Amino acid sequence: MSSSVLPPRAPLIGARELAALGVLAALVLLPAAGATPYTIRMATVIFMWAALAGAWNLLAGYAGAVDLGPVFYQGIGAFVTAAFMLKWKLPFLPSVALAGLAAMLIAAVVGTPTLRLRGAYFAIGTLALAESGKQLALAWDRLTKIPLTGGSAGISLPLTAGYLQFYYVMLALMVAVTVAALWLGRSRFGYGLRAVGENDLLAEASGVDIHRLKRRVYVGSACVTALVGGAAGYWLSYINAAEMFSMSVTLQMVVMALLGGLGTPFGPVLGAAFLTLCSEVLGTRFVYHYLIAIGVIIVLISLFMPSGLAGLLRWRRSAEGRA
Amino acid sequence: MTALADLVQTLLNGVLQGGVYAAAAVGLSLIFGVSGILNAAHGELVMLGAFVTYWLYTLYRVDPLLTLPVSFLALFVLGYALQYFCLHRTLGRPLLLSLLVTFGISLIILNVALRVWTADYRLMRVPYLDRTLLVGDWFIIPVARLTACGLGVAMVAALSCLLAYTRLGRMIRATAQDWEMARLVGVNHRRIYALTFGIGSGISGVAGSLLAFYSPVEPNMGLSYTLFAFAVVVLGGLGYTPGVLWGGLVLGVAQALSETYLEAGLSLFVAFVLLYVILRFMPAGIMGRGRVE
Repeated sequence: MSSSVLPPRAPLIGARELAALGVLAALVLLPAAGATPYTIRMATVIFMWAALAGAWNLLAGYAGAVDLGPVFYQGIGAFVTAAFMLKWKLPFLPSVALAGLAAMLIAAVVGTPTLRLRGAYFAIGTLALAESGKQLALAWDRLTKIPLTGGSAGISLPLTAGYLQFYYVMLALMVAVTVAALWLGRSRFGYGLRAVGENDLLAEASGVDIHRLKRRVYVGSACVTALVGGAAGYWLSYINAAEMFSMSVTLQMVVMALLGGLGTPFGPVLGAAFLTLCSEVLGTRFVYHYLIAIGVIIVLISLFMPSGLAGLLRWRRSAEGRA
Repeated sequence: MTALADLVQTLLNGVLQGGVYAAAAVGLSLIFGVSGILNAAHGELVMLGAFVTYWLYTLYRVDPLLTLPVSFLALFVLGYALQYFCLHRTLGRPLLLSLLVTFGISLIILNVALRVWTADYRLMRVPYLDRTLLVGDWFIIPVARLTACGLGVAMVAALSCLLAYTRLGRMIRATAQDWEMARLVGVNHRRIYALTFGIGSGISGVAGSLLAFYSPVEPNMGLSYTLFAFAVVVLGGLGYTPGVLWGGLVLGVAQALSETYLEAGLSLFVAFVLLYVILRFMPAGIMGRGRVE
């Protein structure tokens, strides 16, 4: 691919990025400006989901590969972090970093073969991966006699008073994912990846090593998902395999990315904020109504917002390049 | 001798469960094969069918066998309407879109069911289905499972005949191969897609009714049947309808073996590892006759 066929590069910092930097500066200073613990907690939840949905978006939005098993890496992240903290008494940050590495290793060995599958086959394959991971995690302690997941009873992590550290960890993860998406929007790597998303056979025929590109994004997104899982587990201070590997987490990631805008850098952040606030207002009082409403919203957005979804499902190179 | 008897009994259980799995998966296979929609609400249709039978029997004492046509009709209408009014818009669009719409539908069905029926487990007690047959002195065959398996396999066979030998079947197959060509020769593709979804959904409802013969019914059962159906369909070959019989057989037997010889908690794990391995190394299914992308 010669550089002459690429559209002109957009300036790295446009108006949208400047606004985002402003918001980021405000978010960094928010705790110092005397926000209540409740506000901080809500913001942390939003950052967490934005990072998860954003990590999913890197693969689905840019390479067109619909992964239905990312929760696999959240679970791995949570339990590996817990293992390092409880068994080797490591502090939180090194533990979660090691968990991220472990997830990358597992993603490279077990996960990347699924990338050879296409379309529906990839979706089902990754779903199978996540579900078998959950079942294995539930049975792990009885099978191996090595206490790790606590079976269906789960495990408790040491309590911590420092909720601010989670705020900054989740904020950093969200920023990392968004920057990665911005970079994919304008780098050679990103163009190759989107060529894969639009027509992988054509991309391969024009000399893009599609498997290498997808592998890197998959492993990277697994790493972020595991880091979020590790931080979330410590934050919750109690984790069990059924919840940390729950398919509903995957679905929520997918829905948030779609609501906000698939294949856009800030979409997952918007989707995460919108859905988290909705569930905070409605979810606690009307659980079933809330989920029914979410179902209706998903159907309606998918069917009747073709401009929204078209921009989401089909990458608009020109529009995005000039934005 | 008892070890051998255990093995035979285990295989028998697996085969009986496999027939029902085949019936519960064939609708997913049909719909995917014809319209390319991967129906994430599949398990919810199975669940609704199970509830039709449960309530008709519990409230009105209708014989469970007589509830099967009701279950088929109710789910047929629901499936037809869903495809005609809702899913038709996803035609020719990326897979993600139909996956999302059906996922939204599954959320709606599941949570309405939870609200109306709560998450309680309910089990039918039908006297004539509660009996067991003894073969020799060793093997036990519960009548409910035998009936469910027999009817399930018969239904898969009936669907295969419908597709192979009838005018409707030809129209469905033509639409599956190339809907634009089918349209040119006078097939109303929108109606055929809706009929296909209706039939697939009706069969899934009957499969749910068959499950209600011997297992507890609850709104949350749907998800696991969506997953089982994916597994069965992939094992048999995606898009190759009779393959579900093989897929169901393999899944049922593999689960029964792991429950007897490994651990009950691992039967799902075995199912998904099997699915993963087949998808990775034999994408056309164990019979090698599925569609490979």
